[in-house]
Amino acid sequence: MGQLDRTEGGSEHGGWPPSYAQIEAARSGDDDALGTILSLGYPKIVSFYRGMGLRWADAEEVASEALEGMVRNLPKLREAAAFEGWFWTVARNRMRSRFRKSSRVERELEYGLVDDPADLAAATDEHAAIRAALDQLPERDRQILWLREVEGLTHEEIASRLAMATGATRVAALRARRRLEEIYAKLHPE
Amino acid sequence: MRDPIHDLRAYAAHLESEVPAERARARAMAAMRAPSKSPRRAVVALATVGFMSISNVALATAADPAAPGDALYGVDRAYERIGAALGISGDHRFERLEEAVIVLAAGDAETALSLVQESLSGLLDDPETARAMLAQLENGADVSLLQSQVRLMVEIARNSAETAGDDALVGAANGAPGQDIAEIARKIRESVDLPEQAGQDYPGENGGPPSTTPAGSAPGGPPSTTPNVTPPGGPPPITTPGATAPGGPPSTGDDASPSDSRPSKNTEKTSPTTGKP
Repeated sequence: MGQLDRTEGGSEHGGWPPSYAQIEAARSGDDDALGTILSLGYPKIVSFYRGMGLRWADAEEVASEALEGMVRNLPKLREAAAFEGWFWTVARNRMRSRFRKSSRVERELEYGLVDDPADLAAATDEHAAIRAALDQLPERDRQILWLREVEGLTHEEIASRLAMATGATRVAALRARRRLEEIYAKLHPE
Repeated sequence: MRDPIHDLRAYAAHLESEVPAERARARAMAAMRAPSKSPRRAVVALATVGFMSISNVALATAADPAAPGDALYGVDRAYERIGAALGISGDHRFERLEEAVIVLAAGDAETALSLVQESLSGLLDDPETARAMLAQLENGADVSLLQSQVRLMVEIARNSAETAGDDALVGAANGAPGQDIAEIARKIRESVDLPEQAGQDYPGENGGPPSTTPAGSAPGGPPSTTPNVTPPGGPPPITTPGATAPGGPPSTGDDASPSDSRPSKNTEKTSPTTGKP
């Protein structure tokens, strides 16, 4: 996960990120290639939305909308090398669009991630701790941390996705990481 | 202390693993089968386009009769320019003249002269129309508005210095617009072949000293003694007051013109302002 060498595209064995050949095939109208990419991307998006604070049902619903947006916008993808940045842009935009439309989703984010008994039951203590720590971070820090540390996007890619300068992204990523560590230290003083 | 980044990645992997592959595949297939755009969006887009079209037509219609000074006059001219750029614009020369009458009645002689100048300028690039219009003038056809108003404006341009009573008008006619109008009128006449009777009386050419202008001769006809336009040093006097009263009927000035002592056919037929005999 993350930190892949993307100069040759992603995994050639059906992993994530998809290979350039898969991406080009999808762009050329190969439904099998597109279906594979979307199938691999769907759990990624759901995971991202969950990490940003959406509940399962909302995360899956918005992720489905994001996939539809990707199918519509695939012709706008300039080149295979830009796929990951484009992928996360569509995913993030769909989430923001949902936030604008639904105050319910926004309220869930505001009130945190660990107040859902079903979520608590499904998570181990370890995950509950990181979720609690994530919940105390501002939304932008959460996104930067996730895209950088989980998905392995470069600072340049993150900067273009978040409409920030690359230098500002580096600083923000470092600051977010420090904040997470500080929060974690309070949660785990040992 | 545990590494939070390590835990973050483990948490992400945990979340991903909770999405069954079958469900991911089904969602992917559903996304690929989804219509490209919702019908509601298409309906909204069509409704928007329809509304904009109707609004445009309504605005253009409302703005069409606007005269300088009206709130919609700028809109009217903008639509004309757009139409001209698209090659679907009609002939607006008469509209300019109508506007000139309106603004002159309001006392804005300078704008009125500019409008006449604009109207006449178009004829320079369109000799066929110019010829047809001049021929109609000569024949006394139903072009009373053009006939009377062009005459009015050119008379103003020619004789303004001697027609006291309206400082703005005198000033405007002595300036570039008035002189330009006379010059344009002269060029129009020189550039078209008129019927034989053409040139007996032409707006804007009555004031200057006579000069022989071969270009003004009709083919087969006698050489035309085309008078010069108003010299920059000052136009010839006019003896008929009222020619420059804003909105009022000007004198034809024919009697006072040193180069045109004969009665004008057109002048006899029509009133400068009403266009009626």
